[in-house]
Amino acid sequence: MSQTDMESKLKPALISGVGLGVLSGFPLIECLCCIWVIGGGVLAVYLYQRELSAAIQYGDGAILGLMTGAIGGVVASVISGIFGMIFGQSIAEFTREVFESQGDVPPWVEDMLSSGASFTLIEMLFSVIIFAIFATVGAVIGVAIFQKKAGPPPAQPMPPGAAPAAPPPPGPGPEASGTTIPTPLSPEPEDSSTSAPPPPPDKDSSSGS
Amino acid sequence: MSRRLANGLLITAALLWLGMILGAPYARRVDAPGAEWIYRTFHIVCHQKPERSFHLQEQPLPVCHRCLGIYFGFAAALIILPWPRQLWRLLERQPRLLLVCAAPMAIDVFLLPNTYWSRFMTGFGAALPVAFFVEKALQQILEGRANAVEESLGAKQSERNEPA
Repeated sequence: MSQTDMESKLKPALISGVGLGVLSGFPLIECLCCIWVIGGGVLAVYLYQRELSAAIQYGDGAILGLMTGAIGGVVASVISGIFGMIFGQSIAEFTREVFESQGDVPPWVEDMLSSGASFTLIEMLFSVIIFAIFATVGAVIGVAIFQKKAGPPPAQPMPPGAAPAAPPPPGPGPEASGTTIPTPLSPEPEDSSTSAPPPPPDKDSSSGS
Repeated sequence: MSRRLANGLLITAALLWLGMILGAPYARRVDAPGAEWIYRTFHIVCHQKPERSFHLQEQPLPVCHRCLGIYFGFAAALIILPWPRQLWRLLERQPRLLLVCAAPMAIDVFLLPNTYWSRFMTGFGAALPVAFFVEKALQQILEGRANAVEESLGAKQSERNEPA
């Protein structure tokens, strides 16, 4: 995967990752289980597809979801850690009351309340892994929902502006298919005489005819 | 090739996941070291209310009825994936059909006074088509990697040939 491809995914991944992290990290909103994480993956794909002219591929969506989930896991852990530090005692009392009103306090809750610290690096690691898995699934679902219908030509998985930003073009020669993004672009032969109908490269190359 | 690999990887992961869920109550009963961590990990994505979870060994599973249905549905779909070709082709043409499969779960969550079987079965049904798309995603990623490796090998080969 090229660097520009990653960069184009970063913005939607950041927006939805922070969103899902905030929603999952807040103590009272987190009650909707994994819906925020899956929703975050779906949102990331929606944002990415909106800026993409071609249809997003499932593999691309999965990678986007992975990034979103990882960011969300870190954000959620940090937020719940901050909450734990500021309101730790009162949250602990409240949690204990809630569980006691339902019957008994599960042992892991008892452990957590007695240790006092609700933010550890191991928990953060687990959060990142779980969030990444669920956001990936969410993103794949998002692709199924929001994928643009591919027209008559087979859709090329090209991110917005990937072709011009390829690193090696040496100078004035406008070689469109460089060596960096070979797989999707290589089958298309460069035929300057018949390049009038498709819009992308240059409009006036065949203006004489 | 990559399809089979993707399918195999996902089935392995799904069975490990289910094994962790079904093994957690036993682990907790014998006070195995990682037992509480399994519960804590699944708590990240499930409410784990005991009255909404199946029990094994007098211990609640670390996930609720609905989540268990989802995980079972996902694993079952991966296992039967190679066979109902026409169904998958239909899903490929109309991917939004997965929303139709998820609709009973949404109705069960918001409208009906649900039971443990309704939660389990609607979760099961919702996860079935998702497995197809996840497998497809992994297949595309694996194919992408294989293509990249092939490209770099080809480039190295041509570099070697050039000086000669």
